[in-house]
Amino acid sequence: MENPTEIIYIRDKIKTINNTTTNGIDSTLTYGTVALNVYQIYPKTIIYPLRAVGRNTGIYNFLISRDMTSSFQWNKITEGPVTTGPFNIGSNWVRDFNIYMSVSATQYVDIEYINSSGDLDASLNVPINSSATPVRLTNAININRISWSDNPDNVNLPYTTQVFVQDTSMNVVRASNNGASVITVPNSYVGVLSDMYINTDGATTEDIQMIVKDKGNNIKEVRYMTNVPYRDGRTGYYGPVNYPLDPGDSIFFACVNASTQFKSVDAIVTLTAI
Amino acid sequence: MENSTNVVSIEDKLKTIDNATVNDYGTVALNVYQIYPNTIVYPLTGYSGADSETVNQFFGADALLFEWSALNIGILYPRSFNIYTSSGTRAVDIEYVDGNGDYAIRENVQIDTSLTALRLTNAININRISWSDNILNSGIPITTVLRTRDTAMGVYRDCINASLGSGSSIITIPNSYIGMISNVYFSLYDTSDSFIMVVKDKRNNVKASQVIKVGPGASDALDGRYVSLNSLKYPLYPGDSVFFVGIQSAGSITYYRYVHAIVTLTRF
Repeated sequence: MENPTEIIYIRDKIKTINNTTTNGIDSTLTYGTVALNVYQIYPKTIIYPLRAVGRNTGIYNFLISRDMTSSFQWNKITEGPVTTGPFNIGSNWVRDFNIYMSVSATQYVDIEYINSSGDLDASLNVPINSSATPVRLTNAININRISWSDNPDNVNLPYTTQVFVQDTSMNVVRASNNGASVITVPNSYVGVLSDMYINTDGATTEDIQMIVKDKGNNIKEVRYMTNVPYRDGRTGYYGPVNYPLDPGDSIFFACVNASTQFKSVDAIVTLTAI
Repeated sequence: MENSTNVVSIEDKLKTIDNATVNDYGTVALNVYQIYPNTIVYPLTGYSGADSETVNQFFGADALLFEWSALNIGILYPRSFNIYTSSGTRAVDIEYVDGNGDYAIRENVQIDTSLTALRLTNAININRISWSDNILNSGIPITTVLRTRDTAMGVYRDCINASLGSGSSIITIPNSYIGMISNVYFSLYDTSDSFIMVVKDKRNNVKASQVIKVGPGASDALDGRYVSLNSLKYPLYPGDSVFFVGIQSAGSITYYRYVHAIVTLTRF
């Protein structure tokens, strides 16, 4: 599904030219006045940045999320001092979300999310503040992107100001204004994960897992990536990947071994309407 | 075939505009045809065991020691398949290439832990197996493994496995499609390792046997690392099957060796 194109026949998107032409080579052979119609052809895509960070002590297989100190084990196995987990997501795991920021003011955010039916949805100009407890979004499977609204109150926000999204059931910090750590493919879309970059700040490499769960919260893929990145302390490019995702799939990353060194994963998820 | 598009003039996909024009032929409708890429994308995953002491070992969906020279596939080798799970009674969707070489799909096929029950017959290859959207599949434990195995050779071809990766170890191109293998990744077992990307045609003849040597550079320690061979993009034709093989014996080691790739089918 790379770079697909699509003709969308939606009435309000048809651009009709008033120009007409009169066909015919002479007065005895004419097709009359024929309208010329032009149709919009474009790739119907949405592109989400996936960004996840984390460091951790003592927890194996921890979810790399938007919480630097997460101790959330995505599969909740018995190794190490297990605290919380596993990470459940899909149509049977509809959540409420806290959304808050790092400074005590009221600002506004736009939320692109997957609603409880699995459809793509958006909620615009949602007021938030520094309180981490109010529920700002209910009945959603996942938030794919959160961004500052185009609102007069969102002017000159300090660059250190961040927005965080946390589900109230598992308390996993899933997204920030820098990207979402979990991306879910809505109904009527297919997805592709691509352009994966992995960084570890310390002196040793890490084993990273790319996990895909289907809409029923079942494992679809766990791609095990040993000893990344290539060079210590550098961001490694892991190629185009181009892993296919189907409607209802969710994708996220985890770190296999417990380690205190900072690590991050960046990738792109492209959705295409089908 | 990158960025291919397809004009599909199938009646139910025709979009007819209400607008019409009147000319000397009477009222003529203007029709719009949907144009889109008719593609299917399959993940390929193959691995060898932690103790892969066989040279030229086929990278399948289980730590089976199987030399690829004995792997026969194509229209002369339709197979029956066992499909089983490590726990419970479940339902799976199967995308496969049937005995005629055509793309086929079966949905909501019930399976259980029986390794011997036949779940699919007269198929050249299974290109993808996935959990169905079925009530039987609620709350499947993370540790549950799903596998397919052809009954003739006993080769494990497809799996869903949280520990060792999921996907099909062999992808076959059905009739009316062309394919492209791309985005190849390896996990190495040692200081150097060599793999073969094998392509067989519909009659089981070797079409390509591309040796890929991956190993350390002068200053890079790649031991046991996951490496990308970037886009690759090898073309595949109807009836072709592609899979991977490890050349060396890995000996008694603790690493598994993996290969991951993407195969994109485009209808023509």
